[in-house]
Amino acid sequence: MAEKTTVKKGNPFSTFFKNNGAILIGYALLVLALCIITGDTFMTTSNILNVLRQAVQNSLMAFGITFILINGCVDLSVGANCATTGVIMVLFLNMGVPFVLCVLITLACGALMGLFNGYFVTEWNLIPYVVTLASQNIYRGLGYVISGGLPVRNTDPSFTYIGNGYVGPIPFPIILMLFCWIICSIFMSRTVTGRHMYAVGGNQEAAQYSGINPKRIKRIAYTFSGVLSAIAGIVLAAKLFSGQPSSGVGYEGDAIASNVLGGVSMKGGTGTHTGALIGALVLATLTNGFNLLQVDFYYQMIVKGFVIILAVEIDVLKKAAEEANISLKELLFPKKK
Amino acid sequence: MASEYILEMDHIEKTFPGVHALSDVHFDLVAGEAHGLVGENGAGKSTLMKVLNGIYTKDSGSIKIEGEEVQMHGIKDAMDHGIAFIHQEISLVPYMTIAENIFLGCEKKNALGVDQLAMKQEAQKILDSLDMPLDAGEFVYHLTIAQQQMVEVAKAVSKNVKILVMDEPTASLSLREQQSLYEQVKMLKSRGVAIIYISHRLEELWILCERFTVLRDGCYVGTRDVATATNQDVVNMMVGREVDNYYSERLHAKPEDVILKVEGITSDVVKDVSFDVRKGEILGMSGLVGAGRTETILAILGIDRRLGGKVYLDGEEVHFRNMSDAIKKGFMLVPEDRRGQGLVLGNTVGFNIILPSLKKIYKNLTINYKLQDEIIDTYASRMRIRMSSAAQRAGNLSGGNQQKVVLAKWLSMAPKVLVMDEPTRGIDVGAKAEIYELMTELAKSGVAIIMISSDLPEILNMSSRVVVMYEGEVKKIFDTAEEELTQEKIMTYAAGVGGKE
Repeated sequence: MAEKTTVKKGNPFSTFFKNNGAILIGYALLVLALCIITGDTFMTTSNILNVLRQAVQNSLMAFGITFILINGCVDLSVGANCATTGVIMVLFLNMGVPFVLCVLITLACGALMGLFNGYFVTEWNLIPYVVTLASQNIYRGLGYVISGGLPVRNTDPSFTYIGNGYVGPIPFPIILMLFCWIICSIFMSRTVTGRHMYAVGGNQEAAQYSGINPKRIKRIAYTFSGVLSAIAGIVLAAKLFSGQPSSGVGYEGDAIASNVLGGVSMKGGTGTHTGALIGALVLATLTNGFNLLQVDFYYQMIVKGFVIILAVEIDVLKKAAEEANISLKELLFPKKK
Repeated sequence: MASEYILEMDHIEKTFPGVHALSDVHFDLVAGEAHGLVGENGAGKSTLMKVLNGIYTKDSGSIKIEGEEVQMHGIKDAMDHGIAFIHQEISLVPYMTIAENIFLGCEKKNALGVDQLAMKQEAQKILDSLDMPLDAGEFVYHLTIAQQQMVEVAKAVSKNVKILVMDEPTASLSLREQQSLYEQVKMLKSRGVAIIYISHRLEELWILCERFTVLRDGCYVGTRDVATATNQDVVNMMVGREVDNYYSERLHAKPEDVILKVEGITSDVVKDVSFDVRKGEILGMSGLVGAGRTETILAILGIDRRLGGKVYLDGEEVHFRNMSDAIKKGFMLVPEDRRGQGLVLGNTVGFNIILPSLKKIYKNLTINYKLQDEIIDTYASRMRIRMSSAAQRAGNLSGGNQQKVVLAKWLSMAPKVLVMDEPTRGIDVGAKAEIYELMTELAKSGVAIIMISSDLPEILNMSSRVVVMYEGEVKKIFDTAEEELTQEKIMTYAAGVGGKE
């Protein structure tokens, strides 16, 4: 018979640290380094709010991608979705549609775009990479068509507030980002559908044989991704006072990178929105730090690339250690027999 | 009479484009019995179970549960009728806890949403009531295969199943783990659960089952009581003809014809392993899973780091550093996982056969088509591969024919020593006999074959000599020219009971 395995009772904080330890330590070191190098400039309230504000756009889309990655899929269309939903929002505002209705319509459009991806992935059994690569073109094309290829402006204060307003001293977009983070986290940990996403990504067959409909779960994930991209689209358009069909190019790369940095597995089944948030913060902090140090943007890209590779390698090692039931230290420095 | 059956399937028909998968199939089940479902690969066992499961919809026929006709439209329907499945491959979610897996698809909820604590407590109660020494909060990827199987059983019990389908549950278990599974099956039976047991290991019918049903080519062959049937009866029903000469003749080689000599090979897993192989013999390697048989070969190949010992091939000491070194010297391996390691499934039979000979065919930017066709034709026909043409995809062949392709591939390289790891695993009864025949032919032509096998009848009937390993050491080398072999003799040493000689 098998031996009884001992389990450490996990309190939420230790589990959180165990899951996100490596990236947190890395992030702490990064912040520490920036504090030392830039002197006082980095650790000022205004700069920290600046970092957070820079992270908003990316983290909203990253939250959407988290659902997708946990399901074992991928979504490359979020950048195009973001640009086009921004245009849609402004167009409806310009038509005189009430503000709240505009928001709802835009979110619905985002959801539809996500569902479109989900439909082809689940019902036509196409590879997610290909479907969303194709729909990326479709959505961006749509954005150009409805805007006539030019940015559409709107300076209605209730609209621009979403991108530029403040609640007390804190910019509204940051609050929106944190709100979405909390909702997504609760959804994944507390609802049956959320748990089923982990199951579908972890072992689709097991999920299926437990009476779960993986197609439905994946469609929901794609729909969520679409909605979150639309939220990002509204925030971006509000920030820029205009819906710009050419915006958001390559945003999907950063959104996926944030997830990978935050320990969300590209193979599905593991990861959290908290991880994605930390990943987005790391990217934003890197950019901010480089800007403070006046490092050329081109060099920033090179460094960012290497950081992502390093993060993935750490993640792979961490998984290997977990599966062998030993600590990362033991895996890297095995004791001699 | 109808009410005595918990499940009755009658006149089940199922057609896929171009294939009549099930025709007029009958199956019945009594509460508390284990009912073996046997047949060769492609006989329709899994199709029938998928119909029962609601994954496939039957074209016609009736399914009655406790005398009442039911329609299965999906897994959910099957679950509602108290039918659960345990699959060949473990179907648990690795990155979830035992508790979450047990309640997957029927999670417990409270006002705040999914209630992890309640699920954990409830799951622990189930595990304890089944005497399973597991912690419900443990992640599944930390568990051994046997422990995962326990979780599957617990999951089935938690759903109050009436009918449990087990699809080759022991395929990847060690002997000891099999025993614990048998215990669990018996426990389930005593609780009144009816079990449909699919297995390629026919001996399990007599260990576990009361009755068995045989399918062949999608047709119902018959149902019989296990007590009145012999192994031969079952095989004959499966194959549809008398299979009398199952194993080929036994070969014996002269002691002076040693081609490979291994002296004191030691690695991280194996310790001081010594044996020799003779030209024209089949040397069996027996032992439990994890006894270090495959690892011995890996150490010889230099894939596992060699910590000591010497290897002589043809009287000359050799130091293989990797597979291609070994192939050059004539030492080749037919791996255990033929679909994963033996073949490029997506490519053609021809492509697979010429893979090791590519350097001979592609030279100086020219392609020697004549040589290519020659190699394919020669070895495909010598191995009697049944295929439409050499352009057929290897993945579409049956298991037996795939194994022949792997053999053809190495034969073209003129092997001196051929290691065959589990040569007939997952191969149909009928095709097995053919593989044995080919192995005997090869050995007769002067190739030394090392056959690693967990199938004791195969070891007993095919080997000229048998090396028995236990925990990385050679426990005993039997020579069939000197003594009669029995399962008991081998098992004594394989289980580590007999001393080292």
